[in-house]
Amino acid sequence: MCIRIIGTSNRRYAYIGDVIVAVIKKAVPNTPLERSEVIRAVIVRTCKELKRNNGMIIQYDDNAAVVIDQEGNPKGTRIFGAIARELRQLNFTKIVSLAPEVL
Amino acid sequence: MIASTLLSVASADAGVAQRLSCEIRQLGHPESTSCPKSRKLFSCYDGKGYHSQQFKCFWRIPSNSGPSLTKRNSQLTYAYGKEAEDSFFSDVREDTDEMYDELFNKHGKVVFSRKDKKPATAEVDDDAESLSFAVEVARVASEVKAADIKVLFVKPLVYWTRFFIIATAFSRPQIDAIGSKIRDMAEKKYGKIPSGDLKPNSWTLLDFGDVVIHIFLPPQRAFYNLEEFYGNATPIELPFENQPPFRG
Repeated sequence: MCIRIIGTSNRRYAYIGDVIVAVIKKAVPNTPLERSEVIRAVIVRTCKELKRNNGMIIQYDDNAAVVIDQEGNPKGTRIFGAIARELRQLNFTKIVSLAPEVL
Repeated sequence: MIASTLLSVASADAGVAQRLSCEIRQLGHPESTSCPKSRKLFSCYDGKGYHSQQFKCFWRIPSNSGPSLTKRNSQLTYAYGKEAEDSFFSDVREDTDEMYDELFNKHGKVVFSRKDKKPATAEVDDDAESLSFAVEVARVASEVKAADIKVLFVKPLVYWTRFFIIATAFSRPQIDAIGSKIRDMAEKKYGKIPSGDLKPNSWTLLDFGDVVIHIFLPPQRAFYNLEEFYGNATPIELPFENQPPFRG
């Protein structure tokens, strides 16, 4: 569950590339992350469409975020699913380089 | 019939509302035109809804009256357009095969290509340039005693970059030293400025566009295991790798 979008004062929604503070509502057992932990995460996929200047519109089927630490390193080692290339411009090249597919 | 011709003139008026045509449908059956009151109504307002179905002949007259284009009229024009297209295609179809064959013989199979695409020679040049840059970066890294330097040619796997350089450093000051030295060299020799991490980090990343440099601490390198993730990439031999280590 999202608590707050970092770097903004009064924003209601986070889009691709935004860093959010969130709390873990549900976690797989025996993992480093537990329930009710407060974490930082980057939004990588949204059902809301992402518009590019060239007229391309990207819309994913799910909302997804990648858990990162304070330095911006991902907590996990692999990322599943496609991500957008906008993340590279926003200095999340580490996430991009771990992703199997970049759109 | 007289009333209807009057109507056709009146219908040229653009101010037509569907509501009115509904009213007319309620009032105006053909029989009701005999009543003078209703006739007056008709002549004032457009009776397109009902009368249009009876007298098809004057359909084309009010078609130019702007927004009061009726449904049937639009269908008609569409049909005309379609027929026209069909006839156009039937004329062309006879010649197309020969025309395409000629074009194929002339230009090969690719008829349309984007103009902003670079020719193959430019691609090779870019590859060579970034390869020399990558090797130079690796040499600088080895000068600062980064361990286990690997240069991977990842262009066939990912589109967004050409080369990965993966190196291990053993402490944060060393990462800082490697990073700043690479930055200086790139700015002086190639005029490139990296984006990425500015502070030393357990996984420091320098992004030069075509070349992406990862500097890890040993535990992080084992944790993320990037070499395995990009296992299909072709590793590039470094010229200084086989030299005997310097002993003072």
